[in-house]
Amino acid sequence: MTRFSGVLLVVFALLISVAPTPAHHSFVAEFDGDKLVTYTGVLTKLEWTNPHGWFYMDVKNGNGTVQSWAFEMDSPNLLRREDAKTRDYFLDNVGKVMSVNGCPAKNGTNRAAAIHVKFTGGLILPMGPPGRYSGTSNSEQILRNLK
Amino acid sequence: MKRVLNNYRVAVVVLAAALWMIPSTAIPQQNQQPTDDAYGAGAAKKGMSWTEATRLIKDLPTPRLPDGHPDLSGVYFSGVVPDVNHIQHYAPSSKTFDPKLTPQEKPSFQPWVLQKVKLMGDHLEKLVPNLECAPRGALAYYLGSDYPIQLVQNPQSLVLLTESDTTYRFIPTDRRPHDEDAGPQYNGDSIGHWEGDTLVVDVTSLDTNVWIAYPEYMAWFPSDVVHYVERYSRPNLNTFIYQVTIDDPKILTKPWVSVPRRFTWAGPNKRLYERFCTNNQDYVQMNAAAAKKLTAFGNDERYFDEQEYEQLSKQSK
Repeated sequence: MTRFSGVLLVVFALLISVAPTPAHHSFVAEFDGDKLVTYTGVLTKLEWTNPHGWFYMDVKNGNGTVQSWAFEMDSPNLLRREDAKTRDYFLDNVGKVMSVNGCPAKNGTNRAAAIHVKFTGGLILPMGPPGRYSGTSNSEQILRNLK
Repeated sequence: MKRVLNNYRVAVVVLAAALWMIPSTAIPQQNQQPTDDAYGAGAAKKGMSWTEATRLIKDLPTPRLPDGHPDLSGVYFSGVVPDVNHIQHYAPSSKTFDPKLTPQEKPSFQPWVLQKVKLMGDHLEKLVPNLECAPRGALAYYLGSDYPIQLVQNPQSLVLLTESDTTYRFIPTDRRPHDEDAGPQYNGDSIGHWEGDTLVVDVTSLDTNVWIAYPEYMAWFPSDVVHYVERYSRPNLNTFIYQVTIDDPKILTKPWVSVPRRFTWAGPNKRLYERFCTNNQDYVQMNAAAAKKLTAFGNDERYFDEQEYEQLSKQSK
């Protein structure tokens, strides 16, 4: 015990004790929780899988090029219990334009963790715990204001 | 012929009476419980606190089996859920305890464990075993999981069915001893006995290739001598309480005792859904090029390694 300083113990305590997160992986390891970006594009595919669902959109970037983006959502079982029709909403919207607020991947790939989505009809749904995005913007409000 | 017919009629009547009697004694009383009015349904506010939510849970009597023991059977959601038909997984009340009301003591680790965790590197979050869809272990369905559980009880046993990992634990309560040849198993070998209205469950034969209580505590790995004692109770119809003591002298300087963890009965006719972990793109993204770290003895650094334990614990004395 004598070899281990108090500093190490404090560092370790910080290291080993994290706030409980509902996700099944560490969100902060993969996504930038400080940034919230609005993506608008055409929904192309849904993967209703565990431990996380994914959906894909063709998004036009600044120079007009269309790129495929992957968006992570919470696990299907949790989303299903928040709103039993979540999967149906996605399937009904394949091929249609929708918007997503998401935290982009840290490694620069075309991936983001979805915080909220807005379907063509105007329905807005949360895609995971709101605490994943740590900034001050109101994600729901941003989507509500979109035309 | 007429006599044969009469005998046949008597036999049918006796059989029908016998069949009629079976359900009246064998079906748990839970089936006769109130349904629609069992909760404070509809009163839940968005994002309500633990304390606010607790006030809405109705205090109806604990259901019991004909043998007098509490009937723990049912599907349960984690935390305090006032309206089981409109689950708010992201509300603070969905946590199984409120640290302000019942502060949770931290595990007290042996010095060599601190040294080993340092060897794991700076990014413990990338090493979480479940990132590879590995089983989460016997306690993970109660500590640190957001997914519902189902308990199925009869006078001889309790069965835990879990949505997380889509697995089960069988807990005989008929006073049989542990299965000495059971281990190692991710969910271990469980035996239970009643102490008053509490079911006390002893868990041994546990696989060491898990992290305990993730994500509450990162990198808490068990040793080959780990032993759990769990306490299950249902103080009222809507509430299931779980508590566990973890004894692991190779890892901990003293046993770790959880505060009571609270779950809410989901009501009748609720079910679990599958949650097989099959498509973990996060792991691939974060660890694509990363080789697994090994101990000096060639085993996965994330888990208990007997030789490493002997070496590091000698150094730290």
